Amino acid sequence: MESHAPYLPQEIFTNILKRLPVKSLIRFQCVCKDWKRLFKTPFFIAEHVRHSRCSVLVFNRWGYKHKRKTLCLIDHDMQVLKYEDPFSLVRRYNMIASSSGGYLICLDDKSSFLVWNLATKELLRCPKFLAFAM
Amino acid sequence: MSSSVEAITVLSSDGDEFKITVSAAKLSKPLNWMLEDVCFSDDCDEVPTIEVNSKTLVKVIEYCEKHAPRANSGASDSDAEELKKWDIEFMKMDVKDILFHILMAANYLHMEGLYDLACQTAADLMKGMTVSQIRKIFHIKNDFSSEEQEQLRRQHPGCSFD
Repeated sequence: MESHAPYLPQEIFTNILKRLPVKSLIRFQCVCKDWKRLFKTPFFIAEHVRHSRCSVLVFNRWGYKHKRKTLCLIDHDMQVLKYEDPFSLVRRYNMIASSSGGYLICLDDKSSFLVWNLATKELLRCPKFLAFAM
Repeated sequence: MSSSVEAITVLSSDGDEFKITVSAAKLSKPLNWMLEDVCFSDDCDEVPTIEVNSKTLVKVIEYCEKHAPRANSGASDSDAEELKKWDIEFMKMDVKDILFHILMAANYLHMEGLYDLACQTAADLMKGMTVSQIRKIFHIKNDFSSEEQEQLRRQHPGCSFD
């Protein structure tokens, strides 16, 4: 039994996709090139952030025993979200800022600033002398 | 001129006639404009056509009739809670068969509440789907080359193209 779903216009598409969690968006960037491109556009990112549930970092836990650190965030519904440090950055660092609904956090590990995207697990390292020069 | 009737008759794109109360029709901006511009009375033979098929229009009218009292007079918290539960039941429908048609209709009829509800329902359903299910439902072709697929898999080890 094959029913015919209508072709949805781009505007409706975007409105549905911006409601998906980042985890699903990462999966669905494999759907096609258009979707992969769309998810990276500033417009889509802004729309997605506007729709996301805001979360704030409350504490980071040092797991010296396991040589892993866990960042704990608390979201809109008071649920604790735990993120394991995927980079095994065992040196001490401090969180100095977070934005984009808590997805993007900035860490200070003495020699450099790290901008860590919790959703995509991407890490940008910025040497301090460069950061101060900006 | 404002309307002097309680309900109006509209035609679906399939040519079927449907009755909708004036207060329910006001949930749609274009229908509301029409009500303000045209005088509907019992001897009025003007029947507007709504470019939505009969199956979808039945659902849209059902939604409007349910939400109209609250939209027109406001509601208590318990009413809002009851309406929320009703919305969840109302949205239990097949994606391809009707949900996408509801989305198109809500967009065309400028019905913000129904449009938001349908978008959220579609998003919630998509969360549990595989990439190939998504492609099938949205009529999308996989246009990644095998090299590009390999590169994406390396960047995001959990990624699947199936």
